Amino acid sequence: MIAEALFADDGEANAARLDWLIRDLDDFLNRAGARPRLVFALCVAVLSLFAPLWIGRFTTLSDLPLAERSRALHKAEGGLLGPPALAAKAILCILWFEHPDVDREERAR
Amino acid sequence: MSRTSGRTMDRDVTLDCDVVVVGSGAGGAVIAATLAEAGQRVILLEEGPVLDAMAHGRMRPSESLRSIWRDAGMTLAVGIGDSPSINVTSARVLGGSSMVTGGVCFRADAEVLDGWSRELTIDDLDANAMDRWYSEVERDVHVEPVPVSLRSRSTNLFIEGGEKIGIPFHSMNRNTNGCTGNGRCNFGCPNGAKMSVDLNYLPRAERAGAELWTDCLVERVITEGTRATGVRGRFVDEKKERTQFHFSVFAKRVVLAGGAAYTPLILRASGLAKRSGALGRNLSLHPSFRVMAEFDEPVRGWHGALQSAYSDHFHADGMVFNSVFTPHGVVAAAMPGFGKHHARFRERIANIAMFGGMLHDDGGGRLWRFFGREPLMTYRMSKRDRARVPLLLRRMAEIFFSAGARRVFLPVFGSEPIEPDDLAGAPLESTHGRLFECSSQHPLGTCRMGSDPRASVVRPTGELWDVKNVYVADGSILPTSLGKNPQLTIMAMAKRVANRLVN
Repeated sequence: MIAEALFADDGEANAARLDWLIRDLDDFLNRAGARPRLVFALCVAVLSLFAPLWIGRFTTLSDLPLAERSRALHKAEGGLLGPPALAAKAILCILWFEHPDVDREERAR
Repeated sequence: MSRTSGRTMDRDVTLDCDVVVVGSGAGGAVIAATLAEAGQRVILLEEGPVLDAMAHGRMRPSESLRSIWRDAGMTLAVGIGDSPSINVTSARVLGGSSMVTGGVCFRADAEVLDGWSRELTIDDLDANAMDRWYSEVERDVHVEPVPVSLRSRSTNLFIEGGEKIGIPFHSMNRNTNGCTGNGRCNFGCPNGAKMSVDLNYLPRAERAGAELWTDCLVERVITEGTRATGVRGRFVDEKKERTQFHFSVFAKRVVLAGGAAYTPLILRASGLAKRSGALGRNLSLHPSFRVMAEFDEPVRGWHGALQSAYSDHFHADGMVFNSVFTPHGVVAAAMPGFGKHHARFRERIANIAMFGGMLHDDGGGRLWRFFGREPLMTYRMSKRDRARVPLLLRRMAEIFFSAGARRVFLPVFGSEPIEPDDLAGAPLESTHGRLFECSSQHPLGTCRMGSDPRASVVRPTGELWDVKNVYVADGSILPTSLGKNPQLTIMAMAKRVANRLVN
């Protein structure tokens, strides 16, 4: 839900790469230990429940259309939700940029 | 060579030795090697697993994070009041945090050492007396200056900008041998060129007969009256959870070197070192801020040494600039927005340069016991340090603009990058502390050394004031922050403590 909102460029995020990301995130959290799992789950829960308030919507993040989700998270990260937004974003970005395509794209530039 | 993993243990174990060392990082490894080479029977206990240096160098950064970084790199010192919350990184692996540093090796400034010596009336802590220990560890871990040719374009741009406005830079010293500039020291070197303690002190300790036990979590010090007789703990499985099996190591002396965040927890759980009230207090962190800048030219900051140059031009203001770069994903995470908004920045990652700014802080942190075995860290930044944050960021942005940066990304949550004309009006002074993105690799001071038992946890020798035979030899004994990366000073202090133990 957050990864899709983060990596959607024009329209939708690359589905195959998102699937790869979610699989790798599962492995990351399983191996990272209990406290990081808890911290990550709390970050996601807080963002899911409260980020929509930043755009005046009284619903959960998953109920928002993709563009609204991105906008809510963007607004929220500049306020009190900055730390959980950064924590979630950091893990997702680190994994996203480790996809095998990144090396190929980098070499092609 | 004697290595045993607690993962394989299916029974309780009792051992005995002359010295049990808890923790295998910059402090514990030095102690173990020095004492084993002096003929003492040493057992070293490490909570984390073994990871071969070359295998670490082949890992993706996130594999390193999930395998050996404590809390997968997500440990936080919670900011109190107008202070930022600070991401504090360390490792749980054989070799400790020396496995995840950039390898930077600074001696503490003479004024810091002389200040400790003078104010704490400890006569062998001044720069002259410490020179012997620094020289030994510099030789042992192969400290060398980073050649200018290994500087990344990112580093060179910041240096060019600084020199245009009269700020000089110098090459860092690091513990490396054969560095080719892969830009990922803290996630393992693909060439095995970073001389972390798993490549020098720990093999030396083993060759001299020390036993290395990994996956062993020490929970408390065993005492009889006012003397320590050993340590007790539990084995840890591959999921980092404690198993049902216990170990006890009986020893003539106990040396704690679990780091500034963990040594106080062991002492507190053991009911020791409570008298002064200083245990777990006085935590300093060297709060650090990354500033990024976008250039028109491709920068590709990941080509070159991760850390190679620094400037202490603003040393009097308690600021040091240290070169650094991070993986693509960390760069992207520091960019504002989500979706399309974020995409237009992350597409320019190859054009991003980065530099770090670090504060020589007054302390203000504290450790608390928390659920489970991990501590809760809190940090209240002093008013003086808090006032330095906007000044540090303005200076770094000015340097990048002087180098020709198109835009600068300041470490303020969710903030848009600024252009040169925006800098003067950027509301940094009025930004609440909790909105600054801040990190630390240097927790120090939670078992401070001193000559007054009412204000310190350990004696000048490193021994606890209130229990005999327990010594501390990690960053927790440093009386104040250093304003410089502390790895070398922790090693030198451990040498000094070890020398007392040998004699």
